[in-house]
Amino acid sequence: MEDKKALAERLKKLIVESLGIEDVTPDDIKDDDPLFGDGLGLDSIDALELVVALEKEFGIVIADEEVGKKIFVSINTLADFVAKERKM
Amino acid sequence: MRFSKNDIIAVIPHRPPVLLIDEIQDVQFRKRGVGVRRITADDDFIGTYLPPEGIMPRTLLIEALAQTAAFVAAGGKLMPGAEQGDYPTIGYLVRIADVFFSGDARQGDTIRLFVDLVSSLGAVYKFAGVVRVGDIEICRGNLTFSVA
Repeated sequence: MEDKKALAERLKKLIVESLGIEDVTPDDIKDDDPLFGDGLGLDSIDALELVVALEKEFGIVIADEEVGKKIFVSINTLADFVAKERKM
Repeated sequence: MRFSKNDIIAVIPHRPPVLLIDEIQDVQFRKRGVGVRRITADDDFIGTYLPPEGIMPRTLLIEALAQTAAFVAAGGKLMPGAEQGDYPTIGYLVRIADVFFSGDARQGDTIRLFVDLVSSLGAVYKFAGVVRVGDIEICRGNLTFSVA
């Protein structure tokens, strides 16, 4: 199983590629940067795209908006959640 | 389950000539459904868009998919005992992506609009849609809505 640092790098790449973000590279995203609002600037549409991407990549189903709000805070919170819930 | 045009009008705000679906079949609310539209000489777009061809504008196929998806998302409110507050009252199309056209629908054709929920989170729903004339696929794409 990949370590947290490798997982975080993979998630950054997944975010940039699955959301089609053109002006940010994975290396630009810090592990504690907010993903929404003033941070990376993602919105609710991006959140749903991220849900779809996480299901494809890791087999994780996120159907509850409240769960989404907690795990999409930053790369760190997302990596912790994926490490715990991943099925592939 | 099958729903008529009157049922559709009771759920989504579109009205003729913008209403582009005649009925909805095989509905599983919030999951999937199939819209149906028969294209006739009376349709406003016939004779006004590439007149010699008598075809439905391809962009309207996307609108028809969107209307079908809107009914699948909100039509459960028609069921006996449904809590009206559990269903959206309005939805806005906020993104279309990965749209491909591979054919046209012509006067006399019946189009079938297949929509399947890909995922939802809070007030955002994403559907995958496919349009067919008979067995021939003429359009596919993904549609995302924000609902209230």
